[in-house]
Amino acid sequence: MIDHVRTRLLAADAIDRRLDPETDGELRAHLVGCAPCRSFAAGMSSDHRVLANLSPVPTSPHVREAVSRAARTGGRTRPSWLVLAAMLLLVLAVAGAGLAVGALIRQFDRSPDTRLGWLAGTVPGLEAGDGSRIRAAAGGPGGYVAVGGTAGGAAFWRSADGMTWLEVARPAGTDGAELLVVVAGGPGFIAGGRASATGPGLFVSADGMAWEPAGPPAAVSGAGVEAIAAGRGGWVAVGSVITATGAQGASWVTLDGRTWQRSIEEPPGGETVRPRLIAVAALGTGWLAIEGAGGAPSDVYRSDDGLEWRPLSVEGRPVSIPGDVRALATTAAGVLAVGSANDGRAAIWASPDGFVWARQSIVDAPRGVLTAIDREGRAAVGSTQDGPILARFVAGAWRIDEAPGGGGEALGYVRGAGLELMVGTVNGSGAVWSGARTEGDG
Amino acid sequence: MGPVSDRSDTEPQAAIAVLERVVVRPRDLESEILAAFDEHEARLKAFALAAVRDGNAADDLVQESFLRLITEMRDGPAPDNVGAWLFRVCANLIASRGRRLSVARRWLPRLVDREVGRSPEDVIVRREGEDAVLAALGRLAPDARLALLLAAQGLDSAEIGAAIRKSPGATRTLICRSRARLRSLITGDEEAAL
Repeated sequence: MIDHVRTRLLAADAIDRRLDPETDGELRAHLVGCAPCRSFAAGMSSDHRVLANLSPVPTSPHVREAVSRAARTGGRTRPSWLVLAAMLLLVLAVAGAGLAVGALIRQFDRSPDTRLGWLAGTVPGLEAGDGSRIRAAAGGPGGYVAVGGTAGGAAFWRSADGMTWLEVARPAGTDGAELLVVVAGGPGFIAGGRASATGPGLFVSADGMAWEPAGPPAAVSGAGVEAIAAGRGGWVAVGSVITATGAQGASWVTLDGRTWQRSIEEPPGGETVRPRLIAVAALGTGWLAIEGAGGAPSDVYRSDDGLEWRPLSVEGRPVSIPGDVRALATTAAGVLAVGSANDGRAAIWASPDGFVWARQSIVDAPRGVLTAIDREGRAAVGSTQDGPILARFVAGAWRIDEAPGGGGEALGYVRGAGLELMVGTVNGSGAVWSGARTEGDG
Repeated sequence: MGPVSDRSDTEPQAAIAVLERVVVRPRDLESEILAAFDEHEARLKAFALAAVRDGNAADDLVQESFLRLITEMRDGPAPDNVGAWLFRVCANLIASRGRRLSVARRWLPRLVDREVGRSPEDVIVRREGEDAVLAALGRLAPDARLALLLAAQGLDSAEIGAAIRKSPGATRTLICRSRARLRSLITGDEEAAL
């Protein structure tokens, strides 16, 4: 007579495999006389059927679009050698003839030592030293969106392939404003930044081409949105707002991306300190944010609803990260924070819940700062005094990977289908780099 | 009409049909891919979601699986069983993703018990019984989780072992123990877990 443990293992084995007659006989003999094992075996079979017939879960609409686009191009996300050779010949011919071709190759001129693997995109309308900055990028319906600021004010760019960009019209009231963040979600894309005076600070777009202020005006006017995070069932934006008594911390929440609710404004003489938050991430239930005190340490805040924030503390001592944190990302295992540590090196910290933070090892971490991290915490970008840096989580460790040459700084990063983008500045003007994602990319 | 006449009529037609399909007609890769996408994407997402428990990551895995399918079909015929092929590729992507996340995974058990809430996807589509199985599945080690999901898709131990880098024998043992462990977690009888 076999025992209960062996019976249950054999019953598990018999779910999708025929046992030899002798073993099968032993199993049946035990099950006949053992109700608990019979029930256990039936339960395992039921679990197997559940796993075999999981309820379908539709993918996000942008997945179908990305697959369709890739199928149209035959899945060639990396330019063929013929295309690369043609591009090289074009650049050489133009340079040799001393012709000015303006925006078409302006970015290539600007980054002559761009290494293989990263190509500088073309951004018509931007000139070296014009003060423009591209602060963030996102992939969504029909392609990519980048946001930032130019001398004229807030700026939105759109690209179908991540290489060729087009600046699109900005909504009224955005002169003098600058956008800092954009995410895919809600109606399509949500962007936020520092509004000018009473202008709007949050925007939405279905396709990245036509943008409009989010609403209602009373909620988004004068907003200074530093970060936006997507959580279960909604989005939270954090930053500050100009009030009669000066700037104070503020946050905004939305369920659909279009209609936002702003945190309560603290009246003059009010006792509540509203932190000026500069980074935010979703937890399973609630939100985690970092106060932007302009350096280390970075205090950690928690909110259940995205509107009321409280500093986290352990045994009466506030929780803080010993560094200058610039961005957060939610991963399957918790939250990652990126920035620079007290030793001046680019740094990443991880926490399962916001209470306990552990600095992650970065192989050959340079002196510099990481300013952005992708939404799943697999790559982070930033800069050193020599130019952009890119850190990837590969083979169980964070490593510095090849970044575009040519100087400048990386301010934003996004992964697309077979493509990754870095945005930032070079020579005092906005810049975009795109690279083909390879097999080993995190 | 006798059988000989039948054969003489149909064989040339069948040959022509094959020629048209293979040689004459330009292949509409996009239509073929989108047809496969519409047929398999939601089941593949459910599979990936159960394995990685992150909607965005599951979307990425589905997308990457179809990009691999495009590459496969660009230069050759479609796999015999596109659905099974997609599940295998997705499983390999999950397994390699899991290896990359092995350090971060150390935090997972602590996170699962405290913070994971219900996404809109959970609320809309998951049945009660499925909820219980998926919740327990999330408490298994990633390799065990993936092995059970792949076994439920009909893959054998050798195929599953190739994805999780174990021998067929070790994979079979893992599957059996994981089934029993899953059941114990669902019934709350963890002391009886094997």
